Amino acid sequence: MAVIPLRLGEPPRQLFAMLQPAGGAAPRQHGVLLCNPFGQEAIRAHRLVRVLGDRLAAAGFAVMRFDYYGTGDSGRRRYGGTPAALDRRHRRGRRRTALAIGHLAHHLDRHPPRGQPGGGCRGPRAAPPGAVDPLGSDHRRRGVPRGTGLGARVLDTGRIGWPRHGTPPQPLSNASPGPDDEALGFPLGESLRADIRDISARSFAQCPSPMTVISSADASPCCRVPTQVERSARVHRIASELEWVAISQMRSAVVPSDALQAVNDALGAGP
Amino acid sequence: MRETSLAFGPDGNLVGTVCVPGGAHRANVGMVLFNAGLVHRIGPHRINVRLARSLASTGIPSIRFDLSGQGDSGRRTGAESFDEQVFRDIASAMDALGRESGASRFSLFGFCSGGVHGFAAAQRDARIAGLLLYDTYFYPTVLSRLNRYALSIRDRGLVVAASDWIRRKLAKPPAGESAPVGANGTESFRTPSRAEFAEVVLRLVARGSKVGVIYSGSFNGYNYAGQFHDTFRRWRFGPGSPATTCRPWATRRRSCRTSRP
Repeated sequence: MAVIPLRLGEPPRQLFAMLQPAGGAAPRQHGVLLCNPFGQEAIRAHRLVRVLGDRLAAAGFAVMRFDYYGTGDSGRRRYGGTPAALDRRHRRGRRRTALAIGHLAHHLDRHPPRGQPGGGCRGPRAAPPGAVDPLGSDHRRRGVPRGTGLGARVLDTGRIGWPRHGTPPQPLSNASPGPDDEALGFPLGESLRADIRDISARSFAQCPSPMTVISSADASPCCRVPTQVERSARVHRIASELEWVAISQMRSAVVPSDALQAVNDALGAGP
Repeated sequence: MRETSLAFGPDGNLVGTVCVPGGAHRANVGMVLFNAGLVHRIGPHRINVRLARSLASTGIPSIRFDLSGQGDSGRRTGAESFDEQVFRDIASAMDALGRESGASRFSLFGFCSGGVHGFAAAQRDARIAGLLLYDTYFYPTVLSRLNRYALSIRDRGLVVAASDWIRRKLAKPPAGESAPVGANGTESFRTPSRAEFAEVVLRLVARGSKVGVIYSGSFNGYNYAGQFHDTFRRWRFGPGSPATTCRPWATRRRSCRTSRP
């Protein structure tokens, strides 16, 4: 099956992507965007994502998978640095992101799209694209209005019960990251790791689209589906013997067919 | 610097990214980067991506690509043996890099098992002007064996280390330098003897190619800075011989501990 490698956007922020056109006799109406995991899991799961893409394309879906900025084959010129420098950069980036979202919300609130009656907060609204800021809540500290405006929505990431996994963050003792402190060759600072751990289930509960969650029946605590997600999503439980988080799997390139079949079934049953 | 991701090869089944320097100065030699084991073309810790961009900043074009059936590349028909297929893939990558950058000679960067493929390809294609082997072949010496035992005793204690050693000796028949040929008949993963390795290196150097070896310290079988030169002292590699880069002993202790199964 032909695949089309692409580079999206302008350098140096180009993203690498692979487009797999729909194959099979009956092409579907919608495509599937496959989002990688991150860090070592991305390397270990590459084969899985590729085979999943092949199968979905064969089932009639147009499939695209891509590498996030700064990972895989995508762009990023500067790498690394000490964990402390990474922390500073992360905080700075988080503030800028929150500010940009706040500015956008403010702008859209004052300048509603042409043809739309009244101000953004009062008039009828189109479905907002939903700008998610899962990695921080600096907008609160910076006084940026949250959830206001038309077209930009910051989902709250209040810390409510997303299961914490792994051990509590330990202070990094040296500049050389260990396996737990880095992802794909660049270190994860303390504040970024803490923020990732604090991603809230509420963000998922507010997702405007129908959501399907596939989970191992005997998932370890880090992979268990939160109750709030269970209430609003369709949950498929599969009896997979594969333990993704096991160190013993580190050197394996595995493609669990039961997981692939579950994704196929879930998508096949959809619209 | 310009990066282009493309499909190439006879059936368009191979996927890779060409990285071409942006400045006026462009080297005539391009670097070919590919899989290390089962890791796809970005390499462990993205080493191939970072290396490609670093090379581009010094005017050297490169291609990083997936061998057939690995990473993003498609499967081939299976009509050729694995060794032959790998060689054809590398030759296709050199062709693609030549078309995109104008390079006419190439260097191969082989990381771990990738070095095995690079070592085999360099013997067959005269366009290969350079070969860099990273953690590929290493050979024990008296001192490396002593170091290894010392490490084992330090980390696990004399009793455990000794009992493990005895168990290993009882479990395995004594092996020579060369591992047996793989069950599928492939020659790829047979470690050449010292004499074979030295002969190939001398042949490549005589042809005008450069050969470099790097040992990161990830394997405790290579454990001191002069091990390569001690191994090949008999062959007296002259000017143009392999340049050895080793990490000092002190920095490799942690990796010795973590790499033990």
